[in-house]
Formats: sequence, structure tokens, C-alpha cells
Amino acid sequence: MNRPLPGPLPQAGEGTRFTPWSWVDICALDDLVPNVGVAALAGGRQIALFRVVAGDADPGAVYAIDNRDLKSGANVLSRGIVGDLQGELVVASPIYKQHYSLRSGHCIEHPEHSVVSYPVRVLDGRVQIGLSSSYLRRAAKAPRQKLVVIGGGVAARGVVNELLEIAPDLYDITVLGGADPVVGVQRFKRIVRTGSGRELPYDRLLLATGAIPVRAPAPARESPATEIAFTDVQEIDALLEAAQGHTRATVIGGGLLAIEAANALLRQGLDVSLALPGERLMPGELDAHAAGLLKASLEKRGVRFEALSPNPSPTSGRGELVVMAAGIRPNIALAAKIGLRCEHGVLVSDTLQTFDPRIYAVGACVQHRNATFGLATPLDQQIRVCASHLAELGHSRYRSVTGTRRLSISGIEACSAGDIVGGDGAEDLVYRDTRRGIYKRLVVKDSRVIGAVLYGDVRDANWYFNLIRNRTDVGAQRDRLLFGPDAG
Amino acid sequence: MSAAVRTTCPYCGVGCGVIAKAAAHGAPYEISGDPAHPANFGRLCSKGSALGDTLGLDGRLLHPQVEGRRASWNDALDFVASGLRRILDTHGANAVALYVSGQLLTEDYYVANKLVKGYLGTANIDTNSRLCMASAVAGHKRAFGEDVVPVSYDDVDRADLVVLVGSNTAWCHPIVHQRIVAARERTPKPKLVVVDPRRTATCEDADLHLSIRAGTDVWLFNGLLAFLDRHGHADRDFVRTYTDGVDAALAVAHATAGDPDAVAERCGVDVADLTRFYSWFAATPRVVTLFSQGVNQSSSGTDKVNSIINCHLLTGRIGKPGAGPFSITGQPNAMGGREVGGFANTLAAHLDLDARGQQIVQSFWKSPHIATQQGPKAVEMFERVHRGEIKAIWIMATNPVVSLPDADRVREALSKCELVIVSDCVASTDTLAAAHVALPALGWGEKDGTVTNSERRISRQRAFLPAPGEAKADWWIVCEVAKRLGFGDAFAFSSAAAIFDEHARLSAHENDGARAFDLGALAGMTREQYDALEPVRWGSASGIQFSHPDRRARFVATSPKSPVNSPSAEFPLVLNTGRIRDQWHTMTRTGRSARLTSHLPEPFAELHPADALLYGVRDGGLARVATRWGAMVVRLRESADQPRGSVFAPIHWNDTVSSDARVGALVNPEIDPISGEPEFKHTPARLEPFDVDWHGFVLARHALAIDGVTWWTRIQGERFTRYELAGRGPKPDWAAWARRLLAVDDDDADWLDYRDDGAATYRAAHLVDDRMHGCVFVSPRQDLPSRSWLSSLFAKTRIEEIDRVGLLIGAPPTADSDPGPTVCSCFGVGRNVIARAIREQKLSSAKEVTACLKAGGNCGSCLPEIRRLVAGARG
Repeated sequence: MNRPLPGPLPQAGEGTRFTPWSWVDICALDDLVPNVGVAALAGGRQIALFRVVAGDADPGAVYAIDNRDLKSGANVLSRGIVGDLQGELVVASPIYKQHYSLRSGHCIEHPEHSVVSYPVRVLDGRVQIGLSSSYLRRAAKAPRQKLVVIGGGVAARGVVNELLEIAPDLYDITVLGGADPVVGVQRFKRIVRTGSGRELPYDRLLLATGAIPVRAPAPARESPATEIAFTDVQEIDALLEAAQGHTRATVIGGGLLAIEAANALLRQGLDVSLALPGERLMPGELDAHAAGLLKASLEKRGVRFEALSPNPSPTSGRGELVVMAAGIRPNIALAAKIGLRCEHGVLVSDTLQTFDPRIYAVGACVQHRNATFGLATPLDQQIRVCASHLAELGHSRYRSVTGTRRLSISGIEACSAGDIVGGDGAEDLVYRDTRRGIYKRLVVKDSRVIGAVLYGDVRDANWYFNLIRNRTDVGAQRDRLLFGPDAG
Repeated sequence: MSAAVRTTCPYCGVGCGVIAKAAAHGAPYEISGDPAHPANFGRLCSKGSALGDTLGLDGRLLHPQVEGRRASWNDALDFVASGLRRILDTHGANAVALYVSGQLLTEDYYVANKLVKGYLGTANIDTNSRLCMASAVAGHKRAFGEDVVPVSYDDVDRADLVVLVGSNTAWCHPIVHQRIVAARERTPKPKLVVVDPRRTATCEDADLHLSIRAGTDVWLFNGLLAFLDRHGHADRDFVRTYTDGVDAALAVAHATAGDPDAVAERCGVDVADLTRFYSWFAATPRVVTLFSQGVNQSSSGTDKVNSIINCHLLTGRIGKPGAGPFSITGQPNAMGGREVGGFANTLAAHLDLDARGQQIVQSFWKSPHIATQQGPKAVEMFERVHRGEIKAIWIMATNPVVSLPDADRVREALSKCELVIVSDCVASTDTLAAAHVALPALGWGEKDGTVTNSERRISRQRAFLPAPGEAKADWWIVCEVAKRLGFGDAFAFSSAAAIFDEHARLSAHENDGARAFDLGALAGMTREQYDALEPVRWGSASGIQFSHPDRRARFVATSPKSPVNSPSAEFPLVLNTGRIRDQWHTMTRTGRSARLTSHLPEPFAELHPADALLYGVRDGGLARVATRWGAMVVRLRESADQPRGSVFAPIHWNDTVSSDARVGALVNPEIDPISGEPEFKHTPARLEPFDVDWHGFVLARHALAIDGVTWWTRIQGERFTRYELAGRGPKPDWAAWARRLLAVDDDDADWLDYRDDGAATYRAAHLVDDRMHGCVFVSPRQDLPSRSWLSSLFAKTRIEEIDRVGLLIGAPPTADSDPGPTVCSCFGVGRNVIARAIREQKLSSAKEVTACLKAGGNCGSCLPEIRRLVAGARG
């Protein structure tokens, strides 16, 4: 996991691009025994320091991460054994032996337990650690700030938990959601108003308003049909239960949800039609060719495709189940109302701050560099970055990569990641094996993979995902890229 | 199962014995060396070992054709005879010519020569041997009074010093080379000196390599003659008793090459090396100087030959065990042709076109005519065709549109010629394209007769295959035409044996010891005796005798001359041509063996890396080689073995296998004034990069029609054909192009492809029933994958999933299964396999590699390359 975090011995001032650092003097470089960790107390925090030297000729590098092992809750990381895991310098926790990247604090085995890393520099033979100035100020006085969280989903919970781990004393936290909806925010006064008339002042506000189902026009039916919404693939059992007693179903939608629903209903023995609101299947995830293959494959299984015309002539709906599964979109209602810049989602920066720097946003409601985050996207990265910035320890940035989007129903595997549209300066690499129904396309720009569509063979999805996320220069292996990591 | 048949290899002049044995039903013939044959004692080179691969009937000419249409033999022969008769009657005998070949058997040769010289009454017959060792013939005749090779392979075994001049023996005469190398196991170890501008594979085994400047051989050997004289190594008794003309030769030698420093300067070699060679020669009584095309193919080839012979005469090192000048021939039966006299400047049976010769031969043949004056030698013959003086030409078993100098002019000459008759065993050659009549001849394994090798040994080539289609023996075809021309009585031969008998009797006719060539002892054999004939050398095995009337040998004063055309500003390089290890002549036979095409698959030009830099060409790139006479486009290979200022190109490729690689078209039509042999080794040339917009290759189970591609080469593989391609101009829609090329029009076909438009790369593969059917790889760069692994897939009956994944990578998904380019053709061992074995098993010598992988264990011609790999791994 190679993250763009401060590397060894950063040049003076490198970190100042993000936060005004205070460089806290720790010790002399010579005090550090090579390749053995030591704990230091700085700004009230325990910090594990490692000086890694590969050989006599190597000047070495110094790394600093939190001393606290989040999995065991013990301050022990400085006592771990330093090593190398596939090129990544790591320390193994003495308790459960999981590994932490010295560079980024990322926990290899349990990303949710990743720890904070700190910029380090060596100046005139002295080792210094960069801590945020405001953190140091507050650590001295420590009146708690107020954090208001809007939303009760996975993203909101994740940030709060993380924050409680790394900066438990920094905030009084209020989570709003569910019964008492927020109706307004006065950004100048920094007050949140709820439906019940509560007014909550905040120093920081976190939006995690999630996503809402997309409504597509349902096909007209003369006689009544049962209609249900399907917005979460986890709820497939509920869908099948609803399908009991029906002989046919029309699924409205062209995305992951709709296909999962159609497939499940088909296996249940129903006669299934799929009504596409757009021109093709999974328009956000697949390109036209892959969508065509998917359509052909579904048709082969017995799914019929139905056009959704604006003025449909009504047909009989008797015995029919209509499943609304047109997908979700970011819930931006509140953000838009209070004047935060939104497009498809709430626009956030690399530090997950919105147009108003006191307001953060995470999860399915945000739009980061043109990307939005749907159902199956892992959010741990966003959560970590957001929490570390809220904790005023942040010097990490969120990297603009959409997650892999994966469709996996028996016999059909499809997956995509990144920017699959391409555009100016982007080039396509395409592999097709018609007989085996395999199609792979990589979008490459400036020697980097920026997007991938895989159909029929998704074994290497994670590899491509990492190439995209790490912005790996693939110039040298370009002609073997499509054949997987082993072809190099 | 039919019994094993003992026969003789159809390739070079070493003349190895071969045993052909029919294997199980339908399987190819097993070919092995004949342990009892004194030329090879059971060994075979890569080409000989692969003979079994070349026996298929693909591409064979099986029926007579007239004006491109199939005809009966009767009609075709009538057409030939009436055409010849018309031209003979209208324009006289000199308007008709035969151009024949060292591939013909002695019996074929004999009747062709007899027809022309005794019955048409002209000497308009010449042979492709003219391109090969005419200079040696002329040198022998000047020195000895007769074309006699005064040594045998035994002498090579026994020599304490072998000097190889202008001969890449390791590649071109591998079995002789193996004998030289084997003899070096002896103690004291015999020395080996190689004189060659190029550092060839042969040099790997040498104690001394003299990389002389091209064409300076006469300076070198005049220098040696002067050195021997000056240091008192002349055998005065021998010179006095057996020779004539020593003073004039020595005078010229001292005048032109008396100072070793000046000679070294002239030849471009280190003076210490030069004197080392001279000293070794001086100190070693048992010395064989073995020479080949580097000497012969020169405008001063005959003088080169005599300058070598002079040194042997001066020291008396001739006619003694382990000593003598040894011209080694390039073709299986060049010697047979020489014995028959199938040259424009000889009559028959080592007799000249003088009055005595005419009398002896005509009285024997009782023929209506006898040729009275020399006819045109090969280059001049086609010049006369071009001028319209020769109006009918009959070409047998050779491909002059590829092999002659200024070959485009030859093609032009044939296109203007009134009647072009071609007898050949293959259906498509560059020469056949110009033929009015194509006559199907028997090929090796089908024809029956005798050949003579470089050491004067006559061996039987025996048939072990039935005649395919309507193909007939060359002698039969000649006799049938002769009958139709009205000479039936003189050509009423019923068999090759009958012809051989007449040939043997002619050699003895009025001979009384004047000619060393006397086969009288072989006359009168029964058919059974002829069939059972064991390899036999003619000429006296002991004693020294020469054939000049005074029985003395002649020194020839040889004044060194530079090649006719010197490099200039416009053509600053020297083009040198020659053979490569695994190909033979114009590839009509060897090109069919996948084993043989894999060592050096593409036509190429070899250049020193510094020159490559100078002329802006790159290793692996395409280069245009141009001379005043023609141009070609071939792959460039950088090699430090090539001397500066010189470019080497092999002679084999032609229009049937490559778009633009006929080196013959580039060669200057300059000839030796005495022998008429062309100067193949020295043509001023220019080299420039040939830029293309894309490179590609195609492997296909069935042969394809390649058109509209700028440059291509076709290579025969095992169960597939490979095409190397390069193109200029706008790129087509690759997917559509590839499907059209492989003739795949079914949308449901099992078709895989890979496209990277940004990198302008396209790859596709086509399978039928899970078997490899074809693949196409295209890229703007030369970064195409290795062909070897993809090639191996054609042998599989089913492409497994694991291979399928690798198809469009062009490599197996797991490393290490790519054998790499073939090094050992005999056992099909690739370079990667050898390198891996050296690395992993820590092999430290070629012997250990052979023990481990068998590579190099048969013909041994790849041993120099293996030694280099071992040395490279150590370094």
C-alpha cells in the first residue's frame, strides 16, 4: 500500500502545503538505534520512532507513527519488529503481529485499524516531528470543540469511531439523523436547526447524508401490478419474499441493483423483463461493448428486455411484480439548500472539506473529483482521512479513485474501476476473446491506468484497481498490462 | 518395410553418404549418416540430418507445362524439339544454349553435354558450377595441366597445419570441418589458420585468424612464396624434377610482396600475425591449404588459386600424405560436371576444345558435329540471351534469376528470350516464372546415378522413393528431346547405368595415361555391379604425376590485382555474399524444413556495429542495401565479426520467399578473365535505413496470400507458415485486415484480439476446434514477442486454457517455457534452453552442454555458437 504520505526525511517545509506544522524537536539522530523502534512523547501523544538503515552505505530514514496499536489498544508499536513486506517498510505489532506501514501508518491486514503517521525531518542532526500547530495549542488548553454529524449511516459511524480512537478528547460530538431531521444550517453563525426546532452550534460539521433511490417512470399497466423498490443488494431475501405468488416480474433499472434483482427473480422461476431507463446496462460501470456482452448473456438466460418509452401503451399487469431498482444518487438536498457547492454530489476537496472549510462530508453523498460513491464502494479511506483531519492530525489526502464496481452473478463476472469514459489524451487497450466471452478494456492516460472495464474475467481486478489508485507508471509494461500481473 | 537405401547427400561437395530408411507406415523417412562412407563415416550436418523434412510433395512440379498449361510429356517434348529445331534451322546452333547445374547427376550431365557439343555442334553449355569453382578448375589446369584435386579428406586428417582460405567450413562444409576439429585432438595438436575477412564460426576453432582485406589473397600468398624462398624453405629437388616456371613466379612474388610489412599493410593485418602464419607454413611439411568461394568468386580468382598452388609446389608439399592445395566444392556434383566436361570452355572427359580433343571425342561419339570453339561462360551466356544472339535456352536444376550476378538483367534477358525451357523438380522458382516450358524432373531420393565429391570420390545417389506425378529423370528428358531432334541412335540409353558406362569408356578412350581422369576400370559393369558400386576415388593414389605434356607442373606468376570495382563515396561499403549454416542455395529444398529455417529465418545483411552507427541503421531494423546494379531490403544484424567497411549478405533468399531480398540482383557482373567466375564477394554498396511505419508477423497453419505489404518474408515452420511483415503508409483497420488475411469471415469464429490504438498495436489469434489456426501481431515498434513459443502451439492438438491466456502476449504466462531461437537444428534446441542449462547446471564447456542437452552432438556445426554462449555466461 503505497500512499502519498510524507516519505522518509522530507525536505523542510514539504508538509506545510496542507497544515501549518510545528516541528517538535525529539532527539539527536545518533540517539536512534538503527532498525529498533523507540517511543517519544510529543504534544501529549505517544509516538513510535524508527530509524531504518539498510546497510553501511544507506544514510537511513526516520519514520514516526502513533505508538498505539489500535487493534489491541496498547501503546506498543515502538517495540515491534521492523521489516519489509513486499517492498513496504512495516513494523509488526508485538501483540497480534499485524503490520503497519512505517510510511503511512496503514495497517496491512486490518485497514480499519490503521494509525496516524507523522512527517519527520532531520535538521542539523536533530530529529523533528511535525505536529499541527492548532493541535498543540489545544492540547495545551483543551476546551472541547463541538462536532455535529448529520447522518447515521456507515460513513458517519466510521468517522466518529475513528475520531474517538485517535483524538478522544478533542470534540463534543452530536450525531443527528433519523427521527429529528435537520432542516437548516446557518453557516455564518455555525448553527444547525432540526425539525423539532433544536439549534445546535458547531465548530465542525460533518455531512453524511448518504444516497437516495432513483425513481424511473414505471411502465404503464392497465390492471394493477405490485410495485416494490429495491435499493440494497443485501435485501435480496425481502425481494424474493415479495415475489411469492407472482409469475412474472418487470425490473426497472439498468444498474447493478436491477441486474441482481432480475437474476434472483429469474432463478426463482419468474418470467423476468428488464426495463432500461437508459440506452444500455450499467452505464456508469460498463462501456457499450461490455454492456452489450452482458445484455446478450442475460438474454441467453431468459431475461427479456423492454424499452421504457415516455408514452407507453398500457399492458396488463396482472400477476406482475414491478421492481423499482434504478439505483441511487447522492443525497444533496440539505447541502444544496445551505449553499454548499454540489454537482451530482456534495463537492469535497482532498481533505474531504466542502466549499465551507468547517463543513466536512463523507460517504455516498459526496462527489470527489467527478467521482461519486455508490453502494459497494469501500469507504474506509474516506473515513480515515476525514477523521484524521478532524483530529487535526491530518496531513494525508484523499486520493481521487472510485472503487471497483463489481457485478458477480453466477456465470457473469463484470467489474470496472476508475474513469471508463476516457476522453482527451486517454487511450484504450482492449482485449477480446469472443469464444470465452471475455472483454477487458483499460483506459490509459499519461502512462497511467485511469480506468478499467473487465467482463468475463475479473481475476485481475484488484491489481488494476491498485494500479489506478497508486497512479503507477505503467509505460514499461503497457503491452502486457491486459494480461495480468503475472505476464510481466 | 523397405530396406535401408545407401545414397549420397544432395547438398555440398563434401559428398556424405546417407542412409534412407522408411520408417513406420506413412511416417517420414529416417535419414542417417552412412557409417561406411569414407567422406563422413556416419556423420551428417544439420542440413543433411533434416533431409527427411524436405521429401514432401508440396510445391513439386509434377506435370509438364507448356505456356503455363498442363501438357502431356509427348506434347511438351514435341514443343521443345520443334522450338529448338526451328531456331537451329533459322539461326544456327549458336542460337541455342543449355544452362545446367552441379545438382545434376553425372549421367544427366553427360547426355546434356553430348547433345550440345556433339549433336547441336556448339559449346553453348555452361553450368552454375561456373559460379562456384570455375577458378579452381582454371587454376588446376594452369598448374597441373588437368583439373585434378591433388588431395583427399585423409590428407586433411593427417595434416599438421590446415590453412582455410575464404571458407566458412564450419557452416558450409560442416563434416570436413568436424574432421579438422577431430584431428586437433591429436598430439601434437595440428594448427588451424583461417584466412577470411569475416570472423566466421570457423574462426572459433582457429589458432590464428587473418582478417585480410577483401581481395588481397594474392598479396598474402605471393608474400608467403617470397618468404619461403627467402628463408630457404624451397624444395629444390622437387622444383627441379617436377615443375617449371619457378623463376618468373618468384620474381613477381618478390617484386609485389617481398616485404612482409608492406604485405601486412596491404592485407590489413598485423605483421606479427602475418609472419606467424608464414613461419608456421614454412615449418610444417604436412600442410593442407583448403580453399573455397572466398578465393574462387573473384575477378582474380584463378590467380588466387595459383598463388596458393605456387606455395605448395615450391615446398614440394603436394602429392604427399597430409599435404596439398585443396579446392573444396560447393555442390554435390560440381566435380561430376567437371569430369563430364559440361562447361563452355571444355569439351568432354577432361579434354579441351582443341583439335586433339575434338578428334578423340568425335571419333568416340561418331557424332555429326563437334564443338570447335568455346561457348559463352555463364554471365556471358545470359548477356547473349539479352542481346538476342541466343534465342533458346534450356535451364536445368538451377535458378539463375536468383543466383547470377546482376540478376535483374538475367530476368530481363529471359523475358525477351524466344524459348525458355526449364527442367526442375519444384513448381515455383523465380526462373520458372520466365519459362515457356516447364519439365518436371526427379528430385533427390527419386533419381538414380552417380556424383563426385571434392576429393574425386564417385558415389551412387540411389532412388528410394517412387517418381512423383509424371516427373522424369533429367537424362531421360534430354534423350527424348535428342530423339525428337533426330539423334535417336546416339541417345538410346535405357538407364543411367548405360550412360555411366559410355562416360567411363570415353574417359579411357585414347587416354594412355595422358589424362589422370580415367574411369576405364569402371567400364563394362553390369547393371547389378553399377547398383552396388561402392564409393570409389579415381586417379592414382600414389606417386606424383602432372598432365602437362612434359609431365611437369607449372608455377604461374601471379600479379596481384584489386577487385574490379572499388568502393566510392557513393558506394562506400563492400558487399560480400555467402552461405549460412542451415540453408542451401536458393532454399527450394532447405526452405521446406522447419528445423533449418529457424536458425536464421530472415534474409539479412551483417554489418560491423560501428558502421551501423555510421550509416544510421540498427540491429534488427530493416535496411536497404544498394549497389549500382540493384537493391534489396533485408533485416540488419550488427556483428563485430564483420570487418569495418564490409557488409555480408546470404545468397539464399529470393522472390518466392521474400519481397525484396535477391542478393544476386546487387552483385556486379564482373568476372575473372580466365575462369569466367563472377566476383560475388566484392561489390561496392551503400546501406541506408529502410523506415517503415509498422512491423508485424503472422503465423498461419495454411499458406496465405500476402499482398499490399511493403516488405515480407515467408518462413516454413513445423505445421505452419510464418510471415514477417513491415509496412509503410496509412495503417489499415487492423481487425478487419487481420480477419481478411487469415480468411476468417465468420463472426462466431473463435477469435481473440488485443488492440491498443494509442500504441498502434494489434494482436489477434484464431483457433479452430481448439487448435491454433493463425495469429497476427502488429506494432509500430519492433517490440514484437518471440515467435518460438507461438510457433510451438501449432504442434499441439489442443490449446489449453493456460496457453490461451498467453496467446496474445505471445509468451507463456509462466516464464521459462520459451525455448528461444534455435541454435542446434539437429535436435531443435533453443538458445534460452541452452543458456538456462548453462546457468542452472553450471555447465562450463560445450561438451558438457552436449552431454546435458544433446545440442551439438550430431553435426557439431552449432558448437562454435554454444561455446560462445558458455563463454558469455562465464563473462
